Amino acid sequence: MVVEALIKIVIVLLTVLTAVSYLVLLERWISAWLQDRIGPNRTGPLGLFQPLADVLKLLLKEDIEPSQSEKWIHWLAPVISITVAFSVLAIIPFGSAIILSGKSYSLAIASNVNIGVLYIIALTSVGVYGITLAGWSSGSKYSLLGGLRSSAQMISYELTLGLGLVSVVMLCGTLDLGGIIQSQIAGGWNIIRAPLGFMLFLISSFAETNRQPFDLPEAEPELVGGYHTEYSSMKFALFFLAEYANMITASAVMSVLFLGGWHVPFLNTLGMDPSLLAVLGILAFGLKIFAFIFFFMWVRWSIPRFRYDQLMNLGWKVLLPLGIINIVITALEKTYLLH
Amino acid sequence: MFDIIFYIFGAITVGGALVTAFARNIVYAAFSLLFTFFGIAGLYIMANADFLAVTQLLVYVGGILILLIFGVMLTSRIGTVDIRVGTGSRWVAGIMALGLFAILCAAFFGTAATHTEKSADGKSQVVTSWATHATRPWSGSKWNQDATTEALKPKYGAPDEVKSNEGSSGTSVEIGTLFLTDYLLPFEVISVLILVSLLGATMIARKEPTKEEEAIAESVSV
Amino acid sequence: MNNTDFIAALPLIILAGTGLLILLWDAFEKTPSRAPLILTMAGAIAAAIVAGINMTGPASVAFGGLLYDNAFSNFFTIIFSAATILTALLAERYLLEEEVLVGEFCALILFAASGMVMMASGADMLVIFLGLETMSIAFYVLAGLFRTKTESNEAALKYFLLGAFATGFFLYGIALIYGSLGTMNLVAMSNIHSVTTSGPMLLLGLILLIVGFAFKVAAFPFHQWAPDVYEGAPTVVSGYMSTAGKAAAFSAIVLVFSSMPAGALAGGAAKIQIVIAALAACSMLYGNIVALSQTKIKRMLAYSSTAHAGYLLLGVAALNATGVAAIEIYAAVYLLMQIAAFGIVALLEKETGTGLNLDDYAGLAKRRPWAAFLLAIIMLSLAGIPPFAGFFGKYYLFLAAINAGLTWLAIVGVVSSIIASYFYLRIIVLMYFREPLHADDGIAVKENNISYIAIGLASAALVVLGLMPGLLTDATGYFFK
Repeated sequence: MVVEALIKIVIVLLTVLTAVSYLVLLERWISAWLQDRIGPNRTGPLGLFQPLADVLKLLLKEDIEPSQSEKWIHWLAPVISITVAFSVLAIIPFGSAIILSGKSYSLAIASNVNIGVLYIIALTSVGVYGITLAGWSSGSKYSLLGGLRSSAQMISYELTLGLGLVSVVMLCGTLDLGGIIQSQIAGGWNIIRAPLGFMLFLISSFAETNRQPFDLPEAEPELVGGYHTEYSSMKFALFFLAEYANMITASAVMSVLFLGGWHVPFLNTLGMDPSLLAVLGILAFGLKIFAFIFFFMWVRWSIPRFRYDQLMNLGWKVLLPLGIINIVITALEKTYLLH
Repeated sequence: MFDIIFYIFGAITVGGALVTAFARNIVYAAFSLLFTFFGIAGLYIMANADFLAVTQLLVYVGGILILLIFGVMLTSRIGTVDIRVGTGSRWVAGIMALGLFAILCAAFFGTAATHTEKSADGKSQVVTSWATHATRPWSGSKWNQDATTEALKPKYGAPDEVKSNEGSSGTSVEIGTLFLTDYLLPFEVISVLILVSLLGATMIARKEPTKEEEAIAESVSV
Repeated sequence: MNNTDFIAALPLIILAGTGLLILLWDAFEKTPSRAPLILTMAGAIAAAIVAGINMTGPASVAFGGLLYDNAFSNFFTIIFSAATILTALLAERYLLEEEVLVGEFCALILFAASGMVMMASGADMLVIFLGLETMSIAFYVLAGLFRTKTESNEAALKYFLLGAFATGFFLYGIALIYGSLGTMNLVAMSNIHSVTTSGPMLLLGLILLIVGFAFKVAAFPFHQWAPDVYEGAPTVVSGYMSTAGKAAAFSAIVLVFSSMPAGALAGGAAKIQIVIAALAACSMLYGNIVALSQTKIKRMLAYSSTAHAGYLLLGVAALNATGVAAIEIYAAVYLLMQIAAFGIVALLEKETGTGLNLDDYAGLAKRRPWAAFLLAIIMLSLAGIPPFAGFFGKYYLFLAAINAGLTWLAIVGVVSSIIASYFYLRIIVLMYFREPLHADDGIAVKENNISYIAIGLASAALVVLGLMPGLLTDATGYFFK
């Protein structure tokens, strides 16, 4: 059991870390493409070695410790951020169970977590700490303002995130991610059954990951670099990693909750070999995650940033009431339509 | 293994609490509470109370503590304030705490974990109180024995996915069902309680409009 | 939830529902008006009527053992409704004059009342605790209603901090009781037979519970917050807090203590009784003696309320059928007296917050004969002088103590009553036999008929109940049978 889990953890971590470094490259390519530029193309063929160079650069840079900082917390903040970002991956089912030599292996580090959905929300709420503490411990005004903004923003949008989730839980009747996928296989993807819930969840995910148009915590024109103004070298890299890892986990969670996870419609009717089906499932899941990530980046380079009051108005006066209405809609739908 | 993990969580909980109590800097005090809350969540999980554990994280870590840290962050120069009280008070507090600890210990160890109950055939029977009595509330009452067992069967039929997962032990389904059946009243009452708190918070925190602002508001409404 | 559950919870639903309605109404109404107050009274009257009808029906436990629907719970529901009505009547002038938020005020007193109903009818400590919290939080906010006044803020903060602390004790007590008995349900608790060995923990749990309650009712060692809070809080709120809030706490304490399994405490029951009796004796003596030296009327009433908590604790210490009935009777009577007293104080209080010293009452009879007359009735009743209702309330409490073998406690009660009569009668002397200190800048009152009606009603009730105590004893007759 323990060995199996450790192997899974190593695989997932390596995959995600590699993915993150290439996501940075991807982001630069996409931004270049959207802005009609060429983008990185010097390091290696097509610029494919760019991430390696970036990592080396960050590792070799001097680790600057601001004199006004709270040393311990300053060091701990990026660690919290990255830990939380990766922890969510522990319960994501990356595919249906694989049967190898008569033994069934589930493709999640921890499968059958009864409270999977709650676990995600709980960890999201812990994620605020990394940024908040980073902002405070740096001893700089820009960082502090960034940290404050981020806490306010994340706390506000967590509510909508949760309300969006409620519709999923209502429809599927379980908090277990595996169960949610099973329910979608049986009754159709949640994006169709709860479109409004999906919208809410998507928008709040943007806010929770601090991505544009919700990237006020690090708004360059006003706050220099926001909460990580005073970070350099590997500690900065950890924040960078966390941001992209968060994007991956958010995409994975959305794929599981609303797009049926590894499920591909009508594929099981073709009578394929179960192992092949499982592999195709993993690929499909990867593709869904990629689609979301692409969307994240696309939005980032297309839409301008909100003003702070707009952000709060949107969260509390538009999305929150919509979330509550959505619950009523879902309840009616479940009672009258799906029975 | 189980024991070791238990002690690790216990150490995190107590260690965090100790730092909270003794830290000079209020930020560290607030921050170390985070570890206490985490440790408690871990202990809940070890007691098979998964729902409670996550709720603990959500409410305390995600809600209460972040507000606390917010408050600390917004208070200028609070990091330099020494929040400890004088030595004299510390001695008194220490003695009081030890006394309370002694009383609690006496109460817990003086209370046997067993007591006699009459079993169905009329013979006296020694039962372990924490285990049996505590597992089902109201097990002693006659009018509710059926109600509790009935309540555990979901009235509206659990979805198939839930049934397929029956092997693992989870409490959320049970808690959810109880909320809407046996404990409906407290569940609804809590919403009133929260509403009162919300109302109170807004009443206390809201900005008193100045005369100018009032005038503007009136001119707009007319 | 079926029909009987619904009917049992109906007073609760009406009170909380009216509160919600007022909040909604308030959201759309810009100009302050009397409508919320009228709605509040309508809701409270409806709740009282339903409780009265429920009272005549058979006793039952609703919601699968969470809510009592019996004579005791409904009696208290009626009391709380009456307090709410009186408070709404008294608040009318006060609120509109001080320009505070009428809608929020009304919603909060209604929510507080629903919390009290939960405390008086909870058959599970869970419900009692939720009721206590609902009530307390509403009170914290109400105490700080005048946000621009420092005293009001201080009152709210003090009350909140100490109240939260008391809640901690209360909760720890519940936890320990749950640990030793395995249930929080009062009905289930009273059905447990032969629990022989859960002594110390249960005892500790009960003592912590008593500490929590003592904070809430401002009994002797835990009373320090009361004078500051009652002085700083808006006067009508002080009246509401110190009467209905206390009555609710006492109803809950009676519910919990009378459900303790007989064998569970073994020798502990006697210890608990001594603790409560000591609390009662100290509260009565301390409250009355300290009240002697007060120069501000609100502080004097606060200390006297500590003493009255002591009288009520006497009934808890006795904890027999007479004691329970006596608590019901005295809670009702005390509520009328104290709300009316604070009502008159509110009426005579100036907008600047002055006019609260005892000296300001000198010669009141000449300037405000009616106010002086009503206050005289109330003071005589508070002092426990026959034929007013206060006398019979105390009589039953002392009787209960003597029945329970606590004769010494009854004697302490009588002695402290005699001490108390000094400062109650002093006010009457001041009003009738002294010349006003300040020629005409004494107490300037705007005539307000509604407040006079409320106070007059309460005073009339005191006289009627004093002359015909049977009315009240019949209402609580359930316990005498």
